[in-house]
Amino acid sequence: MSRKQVFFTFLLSGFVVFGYSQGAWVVPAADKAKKNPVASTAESIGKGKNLYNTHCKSCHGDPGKNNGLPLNPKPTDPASEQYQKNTDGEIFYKITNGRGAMPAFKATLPEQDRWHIINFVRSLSKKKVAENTSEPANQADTAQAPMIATETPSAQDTLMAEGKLRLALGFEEDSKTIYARAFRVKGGKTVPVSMVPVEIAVKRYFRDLRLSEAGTVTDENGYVSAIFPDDLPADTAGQVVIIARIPEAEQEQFSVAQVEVTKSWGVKLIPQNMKEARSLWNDNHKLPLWLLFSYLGAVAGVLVTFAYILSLIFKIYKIGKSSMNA
Amino acid sequence: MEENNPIIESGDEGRRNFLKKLGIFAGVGVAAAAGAVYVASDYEEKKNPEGKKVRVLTADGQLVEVPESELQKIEQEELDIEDELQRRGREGIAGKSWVMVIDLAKCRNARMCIAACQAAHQLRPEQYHINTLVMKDSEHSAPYYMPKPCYHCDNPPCVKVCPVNATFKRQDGIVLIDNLRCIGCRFCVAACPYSARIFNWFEPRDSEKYKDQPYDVELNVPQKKGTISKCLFSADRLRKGELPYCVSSCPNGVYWFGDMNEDVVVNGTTKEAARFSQLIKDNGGYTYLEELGTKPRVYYLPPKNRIFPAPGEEQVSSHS
Repeated sequence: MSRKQVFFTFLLSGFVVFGYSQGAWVVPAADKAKKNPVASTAESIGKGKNLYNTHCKSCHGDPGKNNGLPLNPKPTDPASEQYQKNTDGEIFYKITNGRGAMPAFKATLPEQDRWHIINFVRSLSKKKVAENTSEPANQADTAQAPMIATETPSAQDTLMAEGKLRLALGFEEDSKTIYARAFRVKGGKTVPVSMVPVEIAVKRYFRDLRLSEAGTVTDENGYVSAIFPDDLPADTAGQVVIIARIPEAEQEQFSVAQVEVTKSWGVKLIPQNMKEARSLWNDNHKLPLWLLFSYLGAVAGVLVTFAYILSLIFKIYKIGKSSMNA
Repeated sequence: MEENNPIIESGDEGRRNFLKKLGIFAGVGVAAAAGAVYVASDYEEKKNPEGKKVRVLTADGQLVEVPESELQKIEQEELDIEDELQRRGREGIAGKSWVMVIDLAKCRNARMCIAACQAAHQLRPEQYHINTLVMKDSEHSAPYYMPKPCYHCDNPPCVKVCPVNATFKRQDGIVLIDNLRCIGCRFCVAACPYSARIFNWFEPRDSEKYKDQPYDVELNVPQKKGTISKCLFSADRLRKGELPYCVSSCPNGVYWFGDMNEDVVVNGTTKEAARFSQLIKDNGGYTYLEELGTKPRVYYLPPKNRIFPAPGEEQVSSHS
């Protein structure tokens, strides 16, 4: 879901009137008045977005597209006006306690995470962001964190206007720290770009493993950093491919080619072919030795017994013959 | 005389050789002529006086018309395809060690995994490679849904008992069945402690429709009456770098699938990648009936902090 689309939907939602037939969801006054204790920072919104995609999207759909599941009552599109009419406290109460097909996230999501989701949902509506910031719930928190409402449009505007956005990877060998940098070349020198969602990942078979935290955006120097876990397996040559790129969900908005660098980090993989072990379940030629020898022993025992019996018969025959001659 | 003999001998030899060569030439000539006659007659036979044309679908999906006489059977090629499918199916993917993690807290019995699996493997509705069971371990314990595929054990009792090597374990950990070898003795069904295996008692679904399809051991289709079938970890999809049918069709984020050698599993719904070891450690992952020593490859995360109602609770919650 790109911000552009959200903005578009926001415009649209001003004209669309949603028809509702569901019963009112009454929230106790005390809960309704609850203020969001988590500041609406870019970090919080990013976290909230990830949480939304994991826990809410399957029913509520993409915000602004009104493509939620056809349940009764229908899951409300969080970008819709009807949804945004809720106070933070109301949304918090509804996420916490659930109703009907809406599960209660009381036990599943920590309070902090629920507030992150609310921050994300609010970021879908610029008007609300403005309202929220005008009366911050926790002034100590909001004071030091930059506001998304003021930061994002400017960063985005510069991106649209100026030369091509690029990504680069840097490494600190000792601490195994990876830096990804977003920058533009402007007049022969590099200018860092902040507020670009960048993820650092390690190449894997199905999907790449993200090393940076979910929803991370570049800081004022254009950097995102991540630490490479020492115990992560590398390939059989002892190498890993490290990738810096724009997360899939944001690729519509930021079209930047991903950067890949191969490093000799991680634990070298020594693949074990379990077909090489002797076992009862393995192929015939890999049967356990005890089985091989006990089988061969049994066959040999039978043959030896036969031979012994034959030799006895032969002896009897010889004795009989000699006694007849005598 | 003694000295002349070799000359006479060699002359004799020469004559013999000449006759031999003549014989060979004559033989080849006759064979060639016979071949030519045969080919010509064959051609005449195949030539259709009405010039009847047949519509065929090419490999790239185009419908073309071909004179019936030009049609040739490709049985041999089909056999080659089957051989290749068998070879790679037996071998497995080197350097991989597949593992599945099932989060019991997320399952709400949507049964999309079952539908996707049955569609892919040509199963009848009552045949399951994967099924969601309603579990209640004891009188006072909480009920939960448990998807149960084949556990692809690292010490598989089913493979041990097969008398014809029809079922086998590959280097990437998957236990498969070769239905061209299976004799239907059902020893493996008896040996499996998880009841993961099913027997095709009746004609499989759409068996008429698929009877000409080359048998793919990694997909176990076409299913064959009188043989065994079971979950295959979607071995055909893994080869293409795709998640198994059940994993990618789950709407609730129940399944994680990946390669233990990479220590990464991917959630089929959110497509989020996570460290396998971390996931198991943080959530108290376990394998089912591990005390049997079967070493299953499917891990469960306990049904803790459910977000969906447990079995039997749906009615209560929908009226709250």
